[in-house]
Amino acid sequence: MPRTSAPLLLPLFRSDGQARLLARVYLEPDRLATLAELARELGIDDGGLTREADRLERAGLVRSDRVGRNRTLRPNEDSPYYRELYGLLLKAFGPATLVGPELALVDGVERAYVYGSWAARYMGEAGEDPADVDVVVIGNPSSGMALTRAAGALSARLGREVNITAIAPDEWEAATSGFVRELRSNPLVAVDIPTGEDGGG
Amino acid sequence: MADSVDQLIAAGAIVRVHGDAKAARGDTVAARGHLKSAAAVAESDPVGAFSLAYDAIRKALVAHMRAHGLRVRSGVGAHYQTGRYGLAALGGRGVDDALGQFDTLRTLRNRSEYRGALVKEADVHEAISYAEAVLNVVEADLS
Repeated sequence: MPRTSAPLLLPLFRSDGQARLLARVYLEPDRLATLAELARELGIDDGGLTREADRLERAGLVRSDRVGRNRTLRPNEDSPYYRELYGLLLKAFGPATLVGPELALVDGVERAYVYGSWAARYMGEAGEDPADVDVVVIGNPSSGMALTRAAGALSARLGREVNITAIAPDEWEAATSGFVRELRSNPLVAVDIPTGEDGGG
Repeated sequence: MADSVDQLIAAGAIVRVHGDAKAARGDTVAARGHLKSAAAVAESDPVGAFSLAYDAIRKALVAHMRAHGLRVRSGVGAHYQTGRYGLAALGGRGVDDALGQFDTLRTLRNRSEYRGALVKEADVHEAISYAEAVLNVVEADLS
């Protein structure tokens, strides 16, 4: 993953890693993970992630819990910054975490990626702040209405228009159409779609 | 909470015109025809059928406006305002679910013109059920 000194989406944070860690902890508080798991998931080295976690905890933005030898993080909802910080993280980094749970509610979605300008900024390509969020779903969803409702719910939460496009798995794999080739040659952010009992979050 | 019709008029989204009961009935007849056609081609042409079903619910709302001497201000967002009118005028009449889906229908209808938008036969039947429910209420009001 390309590293940047500051995230291109909302470059107010001291580093891309810090922003991603905060977004992961604030936007998915129920998906507890140890520091080692977070480091692996976010592509940050263990030492760097621990230092960042310490810094955020000293600042009162997160709290730690110890489970045996492992340490997990959760947002400090008592922080005077909590609400505003949550809102900023949601708008800037929400697509990476919120799209998956929403798509889990739609039958027939196998995989999904965020593409377009939001994905480009997230992956470290400079440019304008994205006006909307483009999502491509790979699969055979049973209902366009369900996908459109998911897009509407995400638009409302993220404060940006969310557009969802569907591509059949064989078309995605074959990549013979110009549209799919174009998508696959540009930055894609894989969406983590929860399954089974995790779904619907 | 939905706006009232008076609020939509005050905001300039809806304007007063002469009521036209005959034209309103013409719209409901057209809407019925669209629903019949949509059901007939739902399997062979879901995108076309969906567009017809969407137009049926929109025309039902337009008919209601016409009969009451109202129309949306023409221009960008006219269809969106039609949906708002539906919620304002017919909310609480047992079709709130259908009216609440108008904007989703509108969005999918618009997106269906672009690559990768998905409209399945099931979507057509869903759209027909909403349109039929709203059209029934409008026809009852106009009779």
